[in-house]
Amino acid sequence: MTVALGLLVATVVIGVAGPFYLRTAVTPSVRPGLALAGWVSSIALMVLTALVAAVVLLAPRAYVVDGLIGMSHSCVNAVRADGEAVWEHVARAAGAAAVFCALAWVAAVAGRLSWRRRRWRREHLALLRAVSRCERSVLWVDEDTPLAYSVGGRDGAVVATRGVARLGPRERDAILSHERAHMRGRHHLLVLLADVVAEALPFVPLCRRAPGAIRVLVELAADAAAARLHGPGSVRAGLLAVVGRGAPSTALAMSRDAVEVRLRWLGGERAAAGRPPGRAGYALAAALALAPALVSIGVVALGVLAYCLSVRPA
Amino acid sequence: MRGLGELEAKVMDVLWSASGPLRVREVLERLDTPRPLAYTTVMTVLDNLHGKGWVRRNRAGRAYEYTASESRAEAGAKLLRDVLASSGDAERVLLHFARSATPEESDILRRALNRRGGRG
Repeated sequence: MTVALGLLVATVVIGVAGPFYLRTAVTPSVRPGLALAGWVSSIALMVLTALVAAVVLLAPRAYVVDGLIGMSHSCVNAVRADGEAVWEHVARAAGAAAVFCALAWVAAVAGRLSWRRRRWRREHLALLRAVSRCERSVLWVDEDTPLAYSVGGRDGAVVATRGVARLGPRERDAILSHERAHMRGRHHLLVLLADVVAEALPFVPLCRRAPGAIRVLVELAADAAAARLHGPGSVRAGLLAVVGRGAPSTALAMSRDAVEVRLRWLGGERAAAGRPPGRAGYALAAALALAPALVSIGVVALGVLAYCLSVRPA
Repeated sequence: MRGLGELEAKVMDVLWSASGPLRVREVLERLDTPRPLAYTTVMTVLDNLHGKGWVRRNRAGRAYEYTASESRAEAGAKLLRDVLASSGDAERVLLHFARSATPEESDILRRALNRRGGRG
């Protein structure tokens, strides 16, 4: 019971406080890849703690799972002789059922969203392959406006217009590297994950804020990857070329504002540029994401211990 | 103009690669599909494409001759304009190089930059 309680508290702490402590990682002095790892592992951890809590709640002899730190079961039994033990079973079953229902709902939303997007992607790619020509694993479309984007998935592709091919080699390579970084980092999948949890559990702050934060971070991570290969100056030139010559459509006009901030970001990040975040960096990000969960479990265990010590003598 | 299925896109590819109008049988011969298709299948696909406005047809004798209603380049430009203009699925599935940002996203970036500026 103690472990299950601790895990449930950890789920709530990550879900509610997550956006606030993860926000501090979104700064030019922290690699965007690490901040991205922090967000994604926090979401995964929140789901995992809830799932394990539900399983522990349902386990027939849960006090065995509790082991050394679990005394709530025995001390509840000591305090209330019998009769009320039934309520404990009801509470356990209800808690577990709530968690399983929430997870099933997330799975249903994930299935629906990914199916709809896969269908859209397949149709778009079919048409795209017909109207473009493939060269150096990029689908080139005959269009003068410089424009580049990527379609995720196993059959995904980087798409660019003739306008991009006509830019200087620096700008062109930086733009294509940015899009290839999206493909390599499976950024489309991370964006889908964020959209799924936001649509399924909008009342959880971590889930509600995930799409905005993850979309920002994948762009910054791809900018950083392109800057490592071609230098921040090339990425900056690429961004300016695409936005500056864009048609006055609403989509491009709006992007001007976002690009302004990304340009400033590239300038500020220069100090941190250099080698990409290694395995140790990602392990560190995961460990930091884990810390709130461990602290929550520890605090609940201490709370139960204090409760037991205070009621035992009576 | 509505979107295309996979087979429809392949048929359009054949029509764009051809130098002149094609009959159903000629389209069938040039199609590169894993399994051989039936004549009627291709005829139905071409009929659907005509309904969607992707191809024009003229009667030549007893059969129809089909041509793409616009060139490959025109179709490509139109596709990209649709991608830029549309929200919803296109907006969510694709990662643009210079994408429009929601106010929330701009806010995240700006606040992070300001925090750093305040400290240093």
